[in-house]
Amino acid sequence: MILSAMKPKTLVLAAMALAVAAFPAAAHHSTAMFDASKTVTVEGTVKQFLWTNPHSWIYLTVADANGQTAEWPIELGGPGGLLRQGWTAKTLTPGMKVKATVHPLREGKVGGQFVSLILPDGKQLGDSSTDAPQ
Amino acid sequence: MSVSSQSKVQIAAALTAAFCGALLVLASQHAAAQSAAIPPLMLPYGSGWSGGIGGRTLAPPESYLPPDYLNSPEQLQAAIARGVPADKVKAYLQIRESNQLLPPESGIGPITDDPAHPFFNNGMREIGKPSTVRIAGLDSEAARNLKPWALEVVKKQNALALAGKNVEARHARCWELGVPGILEVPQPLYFIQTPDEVVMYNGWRVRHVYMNVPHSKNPPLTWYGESVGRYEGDTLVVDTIGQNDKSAVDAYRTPHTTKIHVVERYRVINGGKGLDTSFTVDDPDAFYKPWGGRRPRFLLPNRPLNDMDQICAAGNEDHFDLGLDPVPQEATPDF
Repeated sequence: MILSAMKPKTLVLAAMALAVAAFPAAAHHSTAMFDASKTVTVEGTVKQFLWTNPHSWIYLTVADANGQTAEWPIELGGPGGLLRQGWTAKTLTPGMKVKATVHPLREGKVGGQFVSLILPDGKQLGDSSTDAPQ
Repeated sequence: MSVSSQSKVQIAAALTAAFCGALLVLASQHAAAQSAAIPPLMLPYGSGWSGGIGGRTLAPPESYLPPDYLNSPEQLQAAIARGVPADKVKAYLQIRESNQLLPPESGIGPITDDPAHPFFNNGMREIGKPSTVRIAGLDSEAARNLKPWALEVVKKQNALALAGKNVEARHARCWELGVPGILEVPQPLYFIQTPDEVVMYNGWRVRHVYMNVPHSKNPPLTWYGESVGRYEGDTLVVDTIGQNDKSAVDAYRTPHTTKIHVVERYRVINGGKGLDTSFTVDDPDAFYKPWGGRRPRFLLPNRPLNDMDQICAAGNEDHFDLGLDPVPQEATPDF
């Protein structure tokens, strides 16, 4: 489900995500494809979690208002930075239902740059490792 | 033994001792001179010459950026033309340098961004500018220096980038970069200095510079070519030929041919706080005239080598279908 409005709680999460880690890991590519001025929150089911350098990826199956589903690729930082922020390779498993907030792609395609996540147990995770210059 | 024979032996022994002593003095003087002549580009473990990644504000700009760049009216004007607020220009110039080639002190410089489509790297959000893609400025001395075929290559890349395609720099796609293209990468640069060879390690890429030897007559064409080096006072001079034509000289994809000849100069400045890096490029089949640029770096302690020793290719597919360069793959091993 796409939750278009950014809620105050999400704003706090986004701020937390940006405030963590004074020394971000290397996002080694441009973030020009993302619209950093916007955030979109989506609710979906984890299809795949790629714990890889230089970026980790969440593939989230998200249904729109008409029930049509789409795969949302969501880019995170590398495992090094994520580990320091409490992530592990097993944090997300296929079938898990999560709520993710991203900076969306500019082109209007589905997918985006990870900002924060709420796990099924309510635990909140952020990622500030995608902000190095490139 | 006669007195006269004994004297001869004593004289010979004295002469031998004097000769050996003189040799020892000369050798120690030579060693001292040698060690004094070799600039300490190689840093203690844990330190690197940062190109700016994640650490763009960790060093004062004056500690490593050339004053003629930081205080240039031309650069100030260029920044303002790109919509940079006047009070953010110095920060802009510092962040800009973290992954772009700077103009030389004089003469023709590298291709820069189109003022109508200013390039802001990820770090520019510090000055309130969201990240944009690189579009080469074609109304410049550097662009007019391109041979027609080379200009067409840049125009083609501009068209792709304007359409939101192929917007990543080659190094983000795990390609080898050639020289001077490798100078743009933001990862820390490390040197290993030995009398016969200087090894340059720069974000999983390795270059070998063979010291005090001439170039081969016909070196095989490779991504980084054949580099030979020498010290000129406090400067390491690296001379490179023999590159293949698969790389670009910058992230605007400015091409070159196998005739490219690059000379780089590395010098530690400001008491070890900065690394001044300048270069010249000559390629008569791609450029009308030789040109040059700079790419200063700053000393970054507490940055062990393995912290940046990333795997590039894993998980680096074109997940968003943006027409990116494919990550290079080899179907058969080269051994």
